[in-house]
Amino acid sequence: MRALFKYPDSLVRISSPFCPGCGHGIIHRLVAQAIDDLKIREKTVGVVGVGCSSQSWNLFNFDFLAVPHGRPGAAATGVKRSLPDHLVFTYQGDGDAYAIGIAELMHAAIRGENFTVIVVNNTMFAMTGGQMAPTTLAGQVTSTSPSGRDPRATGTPVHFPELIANIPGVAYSARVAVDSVPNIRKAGQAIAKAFRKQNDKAGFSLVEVLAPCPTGLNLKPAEAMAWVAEHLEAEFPLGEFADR
Amino acid sequence: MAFEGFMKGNEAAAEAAVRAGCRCYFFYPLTPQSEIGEYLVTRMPEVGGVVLQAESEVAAINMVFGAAATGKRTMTSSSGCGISLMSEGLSYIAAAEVPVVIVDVMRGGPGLGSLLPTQADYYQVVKGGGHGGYRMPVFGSADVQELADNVFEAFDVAEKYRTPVAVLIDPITGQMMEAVEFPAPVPPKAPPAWALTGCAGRKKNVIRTGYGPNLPPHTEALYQKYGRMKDELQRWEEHETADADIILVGFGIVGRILKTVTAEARARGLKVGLIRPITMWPFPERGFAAASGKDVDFLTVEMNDGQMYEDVIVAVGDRRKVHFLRSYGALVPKTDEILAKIEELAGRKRS
Repeated sequence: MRALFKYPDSLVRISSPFCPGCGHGIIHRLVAQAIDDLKIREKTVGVVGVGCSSQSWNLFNFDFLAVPHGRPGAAATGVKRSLPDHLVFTYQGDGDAYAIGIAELMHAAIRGENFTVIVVNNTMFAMTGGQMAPTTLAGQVTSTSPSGRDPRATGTPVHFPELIANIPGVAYSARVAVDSVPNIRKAGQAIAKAFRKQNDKAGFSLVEVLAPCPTGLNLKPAEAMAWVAEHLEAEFPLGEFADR
Repeated sequence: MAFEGFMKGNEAAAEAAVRAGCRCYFFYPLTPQSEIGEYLVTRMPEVGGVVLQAESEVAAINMVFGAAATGKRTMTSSSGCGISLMSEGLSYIAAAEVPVVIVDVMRGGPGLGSLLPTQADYYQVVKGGGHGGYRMPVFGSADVQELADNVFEAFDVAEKYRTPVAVLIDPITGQMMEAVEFPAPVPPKAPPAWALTGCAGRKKNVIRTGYGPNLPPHTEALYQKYGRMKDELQRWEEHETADADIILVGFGIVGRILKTVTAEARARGLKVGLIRPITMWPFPERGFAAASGKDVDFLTVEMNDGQMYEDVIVAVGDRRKVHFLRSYGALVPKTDEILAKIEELAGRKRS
């Protein structure tokens, strides 16, 4: 009999620290499955910064480094330069990656660093209580944009996968979502593709994952999923922006 | 094979690191320490090491964090304003107990300051520029040879205690050319058990600094380690202190100048001695124990507004006995000026 579904070796069997309906659990599963499929768990090092994403050191079943807020792009550079044949990836929220950490990620992309970045975009700083992030939608209410984000005062949502797509050192740049079964399948494929690019030493790879934060949005889990499909995907197109 | 050469202090620091088995170096250009990066961009590839110019000191120190976490001997170098940017990362590295070596060639400040000789970054490096109350051993150097020796040894100390270690360098010593002898190169060792190398054949390793409500036992373990380092690492050089009425105190290049001053004062018949701290943290309090109980005055000389001065007061235990001579505007104190102050103190003692 062939096993169709099993718990990934790359995940630790502990209860999830995330809120009910949070997208992180699905994304952890996809990342773990991709690493299992590549049979590279024992040669993997993950890097996290600070935010909800930083709890993943506890959930993934391989070596992990937790660094200051926003600095995974630099720390992963150090890890990968030291261990060029290991699989190295960062797992970051949109605040960690695109607010405080955008310089480190941009320069890693410019250098064509051969590691993978997974960014979970839920449009806010979730761990600190749902403050405005660089990805917050125009008009979106957060605890620090109580009247809705005003683009004239605080800018427009950053589209990072598109921003880095023309950099020659970027081997792969994509945006996916985890709001439906077909999209979850595509997200898993994109993550696996990014890891394969790294294995082939093709250069920098980044997958942004649109994900629901029911707690931060003050919505029920199913409503938050629907919100991702309706509002997030309207602002942030899904697709591959670089594939070389 | 030992190697002897005539080198700039900054280059000697770089060569000493390679010979100590350092195989990862990340940096950002900043005068007066850029020669270290310029030296290592060609030297490091010769030994199969990693060298990378980062986009900022913030990135450099986190690249250091990542590479050192894989168990390789790793170094960075910078100067005052760059060390400010590295201080967040240093706090994390200290908390994560990852061994790294930081070479700090001081520059004048605050702000952009200047490149004039100064010792204004004693507080920053010795007291910890970053948050959370971490400690790290800090070595000072009076000449290029000691600088090279300090960098070489810093890697052993960093590994032994799993801590960042700083080598604090006066800009004069960084730029000065002197004869220097290096020890035979140490081949890189296998990564230690805690390192992130992939979990083949073992449970996963995690290097982190966030502990939530479980913080107290981790802080306690760190404080116990700091206590051990304080007991085991104090180091100083001492001259003619046994019968001294006045003991001069200075670190780095000032300590070297004070050696000349001590000899000159003795020639004038003044009973003057010298304590030159080599470790600034832990401060060599034991070096002050014998003289503190006697009728001895201490004269601390620094190229700043009196930073180590406070540590000397604590070590001596009586602030009335501790005097201070500063040099304004980042100027090297002159021997005559120091001798005049000694004469003044000696006159006061006699009267």
